[in-house]
Amino acid sequence: MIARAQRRRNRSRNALACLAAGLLAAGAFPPAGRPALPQRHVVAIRGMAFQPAVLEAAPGDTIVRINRDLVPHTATAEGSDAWDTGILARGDSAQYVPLRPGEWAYGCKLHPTMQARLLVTREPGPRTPAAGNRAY
Amino acid sequence: MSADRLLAFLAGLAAPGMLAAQAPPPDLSDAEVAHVAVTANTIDVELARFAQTRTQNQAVQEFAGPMIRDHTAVNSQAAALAERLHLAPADNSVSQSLAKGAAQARTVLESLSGSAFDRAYLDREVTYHQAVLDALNKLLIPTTANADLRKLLLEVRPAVAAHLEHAKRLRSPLETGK
Repeated sequence: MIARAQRRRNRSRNALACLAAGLLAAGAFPPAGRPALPQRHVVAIRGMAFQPAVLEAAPGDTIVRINRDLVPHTATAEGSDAWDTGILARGDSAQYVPLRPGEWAYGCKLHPTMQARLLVTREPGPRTPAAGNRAY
Repeated sequence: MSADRLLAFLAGLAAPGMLAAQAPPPDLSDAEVAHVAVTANTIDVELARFAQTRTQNQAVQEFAGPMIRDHTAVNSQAAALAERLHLAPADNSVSQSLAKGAAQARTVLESLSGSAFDRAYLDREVTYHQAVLDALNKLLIPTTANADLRKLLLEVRPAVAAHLEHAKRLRSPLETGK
């Protein structure tokens, strides 16, 4: 009788341990200090500059570029076809969701004096697919 | 304000190193400031369109495109603002001086082709954007009374500065024959 109750307690403990391991493996409990859900970052294009000029984000975050200038702009990754907003008129915006870590220098195709950097440096969040980057 | 004084002021703007000796800036009404702004944008759009038909240089082509797009966008915003403010842009000596200078530049450029045209066009763009930038800082922004028109001019200023820098970057290698 006592042995049966002990086995039941052990089975419960094992089940809890398996559940906890599964949740950890799935990323349900991110390390302390890291937000659990993807974040939304806004980069304003204003005064012929990207603000902020350097943005750090995590895979799965949403990055919004919005043109607050009078004149059209793009936000285009340099040296690759990784992403390109296309031409954004005043008030237009475009979203980008990087899905893997990386570092991109980018600029405006129309105005070569405009330069900025995107750093995707942290581990993927719980809702982030495994690989690849999604274009705009 | 006499036309002579206005012309002296603009001549000072277009000639580096002469700013200290130039005439004091003329007083313009907001309607006149709006006309100067529209004229300045239109001049650069028209010259860029001509450059696109004349140049064989890919970088110059790629420079002219944003000149057309940007200055057209600014003029659209200026027109919308003028309509909202019930402000009829008023022709004035500064606008006329700009138009006269543009016509002279166009005549010179029409006689050129190839790399000589590219150099002359970029020289003109450097000088012109520097003059417009100086006019914004020393004439147009300080004399504008309406807050919305002043805000528009302040927003235009970084674009003019970026165009100036872009033109300088393109002009530099042409100068050394690279």
